[in-house]
Amino acid sequence: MTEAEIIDGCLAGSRLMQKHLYERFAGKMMAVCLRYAQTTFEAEDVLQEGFITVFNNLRNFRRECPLEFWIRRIMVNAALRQHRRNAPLVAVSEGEYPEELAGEEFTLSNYAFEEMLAMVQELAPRYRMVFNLFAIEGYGHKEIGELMGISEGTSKSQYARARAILKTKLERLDAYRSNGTYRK
Amino acid sequence: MVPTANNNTPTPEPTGDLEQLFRQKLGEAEVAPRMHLWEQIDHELLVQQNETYRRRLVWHRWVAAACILLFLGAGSWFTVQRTGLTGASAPLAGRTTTAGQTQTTGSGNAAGVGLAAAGLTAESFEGQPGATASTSNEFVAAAATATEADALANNLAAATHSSARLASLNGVAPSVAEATAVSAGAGSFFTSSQVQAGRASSSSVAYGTAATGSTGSLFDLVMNAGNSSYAASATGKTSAASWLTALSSHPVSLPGLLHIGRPDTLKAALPSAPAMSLAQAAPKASEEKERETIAPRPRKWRLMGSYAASAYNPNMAFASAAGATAAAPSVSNGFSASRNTTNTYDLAAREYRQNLRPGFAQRVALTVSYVATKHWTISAGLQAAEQQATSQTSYSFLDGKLPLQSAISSADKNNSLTPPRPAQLRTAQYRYRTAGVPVSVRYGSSRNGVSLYAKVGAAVNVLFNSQSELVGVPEATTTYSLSSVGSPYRKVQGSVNGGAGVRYKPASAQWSLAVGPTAEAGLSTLNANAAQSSYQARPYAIGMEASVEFGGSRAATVLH
Repeated sequence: MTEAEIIDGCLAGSRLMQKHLYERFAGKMMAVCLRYAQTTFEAEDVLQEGFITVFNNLRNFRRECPLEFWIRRIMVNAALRQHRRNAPLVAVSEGEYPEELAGEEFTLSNYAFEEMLAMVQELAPRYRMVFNLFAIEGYGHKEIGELMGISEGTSKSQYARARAILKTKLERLDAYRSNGTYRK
Repeated sequence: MVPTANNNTPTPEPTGDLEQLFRQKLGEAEVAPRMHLWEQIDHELLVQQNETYRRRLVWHRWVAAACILLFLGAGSWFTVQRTGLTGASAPLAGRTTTAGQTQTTGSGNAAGVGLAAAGLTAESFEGQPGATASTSNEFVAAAATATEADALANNLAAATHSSARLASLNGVAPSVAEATAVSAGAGSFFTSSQVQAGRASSSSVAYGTAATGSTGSLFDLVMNAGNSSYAASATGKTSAASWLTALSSHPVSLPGLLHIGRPDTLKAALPSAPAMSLAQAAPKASEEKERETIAPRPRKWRLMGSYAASAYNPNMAFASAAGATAAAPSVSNGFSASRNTTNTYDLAAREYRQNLRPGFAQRVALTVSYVATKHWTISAGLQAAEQQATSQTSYSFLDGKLPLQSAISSADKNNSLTPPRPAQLRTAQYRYRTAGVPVSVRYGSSRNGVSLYAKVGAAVNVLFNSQSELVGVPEATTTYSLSSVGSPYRKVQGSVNGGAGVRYKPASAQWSLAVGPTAEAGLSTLNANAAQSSYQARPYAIGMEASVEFGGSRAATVLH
């Protein structure tokens, strides 16, 4: 069944087609939601909210890009809404951030998905959001600042902090694997 | 959680920076959510869909209510307009007495030809000196186009008014004068029905003309339609009125025809337990087929409130001659000083009846209904009503009396030096307030959605307040209460009523809304001392009624 057929079916109100669409994209979108959420339950809440938004707004999808991108963006927005609900407004100092981040080299095959997901989920919510948006989704800091209601500088600062934390975690994991000791 | 990402990349081991590492590991990963998550999303979508339908339903209700109000407002406006137009011809009639006589006399021969062409039976007007004059008016009115209706109405009113007075003064039979009044009051719209009635029988002519001559407005059209149908049924013809009667006796539910019933997707009940395992999903499909909505045992007692807005015609004719002279002392205004008292009262009473116009009436009722069977419902309760009517009089005739000698004398005192002039035509306004006990039987469907209903009933009303005003003479205002001794009105009156319409009951609701036309007729005359037979002078009202009923059964979904 093609993507267009599924979209047309959903627009016609077919519950079966809605389920097909869900089954096609639920796995990828759950991974997205897990990156933004702290727990699996929270990720499922975001996923549910996101899919309901998808079905309610599917008529607005102009088919100019793959449906997956459109749904992913909706999931990210749902995660941002969830973040705003969970994290009350806290004044965040801009802080200092390095203009050039160090270009470390990591062996890609050394790390499992669960390990890296756990590292991201352990980040503070603001760091996690900025890191996901910048490093994985590809948003710019200015855009992130607009999405999260923070300044561009704050986004850069928080990304630098998140990156430093993750780098430390990766290095500790490497040390654990080579020495057998792991320091949290 | 089962990760399906490419966790282990083959050798040689590629390297990358931190962003590349996370983008590769997390960006394209897939994690299957829990199985019941779709059930939750499906449930949430269903809730939202039902909420959408509920909002839409509320919107539709508001639109329906606005339409009803608009319809009632337009009907009231139209009634007032019609009343104003026909009422405006009355002063003209008073001023053109001589011209009216000339017109009537001059068109006599032509009227005879017209009657022959129309197929009217000669016996309807046989042996009556004024027959030629009166039927000439009818013939002219029948031939008139709609654009000429207003002009003709004015001319005919002039002819009618003059001929009515002449007929009375010359001792002509009252029926002739009233036959003349038909054309003046009704205009060209009503003449066709009178002709039909004339074809059927002479008695139906008399009935139709009496009703039409008394009012001459939109509601006479309805009354004449009823008369026509009565006459037509006697001769084997059909009419719109009889068709409507037949239709209302067979209520049919129309949701399938109109597609305005409960939406298919608006489920009667939502799944109460969205969390279902995959193993339960398959049998669930078969279970859904076994779901069915059953109507529980309907509640026997219901409460209903209703409001009716209608046009009310008291349709009164006061007694003449000796019976009235006792209550009506002599009148001594400038114009009528030389008149015989009895003749003056007769003229005043006849003028009152000719100019009597229906007014706005409203009724509220609170009733308790008992569902006797699936289709039949019996109701009883309390109701209160206010009715209004207007007339015009040049004799200061009010409530069947001529009590305004002093008032009129004082009003004319300033003009004592001026020569005698014709009496001024004044508007008399009547207001009646009643309270009563209505009883009705209704036939209709109890199903959800749209259905038809029809009902008949009766009521016993107590006239606890009546007020009569003469415009321009505030001291002439008369108010009668329940304890007033000199009231000319019956204090207890009976009436029968009927109605039909559309009833709407939403799905899963315990209330229903009904809207439809209603008609009510008194069993006796409104005035205690009537001039005509009670059959001809009973009050009646025609309008629209809206009602809300609470306490209906609620549909329930059960799982077998």
